[in-house]
Amino acid sequence: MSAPLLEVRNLCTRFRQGGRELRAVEDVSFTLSAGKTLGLVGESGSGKSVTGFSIMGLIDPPGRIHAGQILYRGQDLARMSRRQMRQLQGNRIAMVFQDPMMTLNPVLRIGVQMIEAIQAHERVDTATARARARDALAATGIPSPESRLDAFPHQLSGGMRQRVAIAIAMLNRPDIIIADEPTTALDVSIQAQILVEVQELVRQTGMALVWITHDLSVVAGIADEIAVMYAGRIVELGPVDPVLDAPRHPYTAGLIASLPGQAAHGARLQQIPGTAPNMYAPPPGCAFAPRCAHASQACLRQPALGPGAPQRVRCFHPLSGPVSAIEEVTA
Amino acid sequence: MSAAEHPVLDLRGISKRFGEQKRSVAVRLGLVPQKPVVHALDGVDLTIAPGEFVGLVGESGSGKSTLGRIAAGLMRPSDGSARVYGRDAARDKAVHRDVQMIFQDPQASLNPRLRVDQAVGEAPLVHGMTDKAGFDAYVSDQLARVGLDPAVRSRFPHQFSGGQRQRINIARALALRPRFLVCDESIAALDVSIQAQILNLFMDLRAQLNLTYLFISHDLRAVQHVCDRVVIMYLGRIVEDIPATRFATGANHPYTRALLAELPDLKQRRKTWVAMKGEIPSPIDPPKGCHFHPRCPLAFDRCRIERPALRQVGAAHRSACHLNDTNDQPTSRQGSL
Repeated sequence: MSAPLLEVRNLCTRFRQGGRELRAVEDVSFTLSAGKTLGLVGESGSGKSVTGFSIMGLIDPPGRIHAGQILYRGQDLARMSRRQMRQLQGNRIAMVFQDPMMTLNPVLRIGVQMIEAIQAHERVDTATARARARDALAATGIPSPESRLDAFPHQLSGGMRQRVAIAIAMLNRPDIIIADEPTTALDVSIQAQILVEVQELVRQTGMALVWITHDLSVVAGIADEIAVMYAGRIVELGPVDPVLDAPRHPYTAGLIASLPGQAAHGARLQQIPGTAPNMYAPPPGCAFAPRCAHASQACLRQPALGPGAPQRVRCFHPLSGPVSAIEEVTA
Repeated sequence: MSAAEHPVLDLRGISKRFGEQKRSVAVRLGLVPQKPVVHALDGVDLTIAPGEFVGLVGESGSGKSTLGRIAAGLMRPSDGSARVYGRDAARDKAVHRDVQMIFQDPQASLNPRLRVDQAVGEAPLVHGMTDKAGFDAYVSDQLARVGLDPAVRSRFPHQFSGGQRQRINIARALALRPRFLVCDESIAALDVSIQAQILNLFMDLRAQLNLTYLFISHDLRAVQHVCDRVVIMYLGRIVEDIPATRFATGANHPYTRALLAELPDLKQRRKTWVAMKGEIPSPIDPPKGCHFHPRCPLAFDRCRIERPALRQVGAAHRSACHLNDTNDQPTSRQGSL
């Protein structure tokens, strides 16, 4: 097997403010190979976006990468200088945000922004860059791309703007795209259009995709692997089928069971009691324990992400398969 | 006439246009252009019987929120009549005791400077449903009913999570003992695990209080699960009205079927998505004939000229599609989408 394109090892990202420390991402590890899609799933505050921002080198003070490595083709992104990182950002690794207006400058024509993104990384003349920008727009399914180059972002609908953001991310043929809730703000029919285009692009270019979302059913349709995050940690990691069909972490199982459509029409939905923990004062040990029906004394300690197959789980009482969890060694 | 004889909601020929102005002299002389008019709703008929849980779905711009506001008496229609328990929804103030609305953003719909007991108890006090002496007990009852600890009543909204804030909103709406609730995207801003809690609460309250719901959402799965009937809107018109149990498999309108085909499903892995072409057109200049015809794979000449009527196509099932007039049965069209 070839070496993975991206390997995240024990990533910890923390924010320090007012003497308090928020551990947004703790001990996150996963690998990503070319042509594969990883679905990073979690609720608000689970650390899924911060994981994406950490890979992109977009963590600004008061946040910092506290520990861990982010290996892209063997280089550690977490140790790179800002200048080295800028050569990769938008070039080898690109990001698509939930709100396309985070990518787009409202006062510049779309063509100007796209040509700039190409010329920042490559010495090409403007006419060539413009042609490439037009082709990128066409590849994301934008009708009459030539005339769209002269449009301002406000002249486009939300779905069109998100396509432009995806086209900009694709401009330099990156190896990795990190997409943070890119279809959450869109209608179902527009979401489907974007998913069609993204799938096609992944198939054609062989790039790797990290799809960050709270929507398990989108991940089911698009991802090869799933990482489920809760309170900053990956609690379950593995191929899509075993994770969704036979979840081992009680949180994953609870999330799946709580979706409407799993129960008979009109029946009460299974619900996970309680709310997500306060990240400034997380419970000791397993952060899910206070909401978990299987919790015991053991859960007052922090379980490690077990080595199990087909999926890895961070739990002392996993729902099926061998009990493999061991206590995490705190650094 | 007693209110029991009336349907909860009776909308007839409701249209709503925004930005409509009299043609001024300057416009008539061609000195300034006519301001564009947004056609938010276009001839909508909808009746809701007591105890029904009706889901209203549609994409952004379909007019579902405007319809909800008219049903709750918060907005007057441009044409048509909107009646709640037989009373004029926009003009008769008594309507506001019977119908309450719950909004999308649980944060924005609570005054940050009002304590929970003030937010929940103010209206019942004004309406004489409780008095100063009974105030605390009344508010505590309302909070307990939505699953909140009555001890929280002296806190402010920022001290709660999103799910808890939505419970406060529900408690506030129910404090006036309404019979009819209009919920506008009331679970959209909540996390998945919290959505299930709130949906369960809506179902429990329905059983306890015999409530009638108009549940507006873009979440087809949630609507399909909790509702009795699903009403699908497209660009200001109702295109289909179908019993929820038949929604997934028995949909008639091409738009409904396209929506269902595009819905992500937990059971479909590495799905090859099929996308409906185009986007919802602008309500400033809606297409002629059937509003859906520019995106419809089955459209024919008549669809471009004539508006299809919403007609009965089965038991408690209405659809607005010209194809129902041809011999071609809906089931045989299934494969062509």
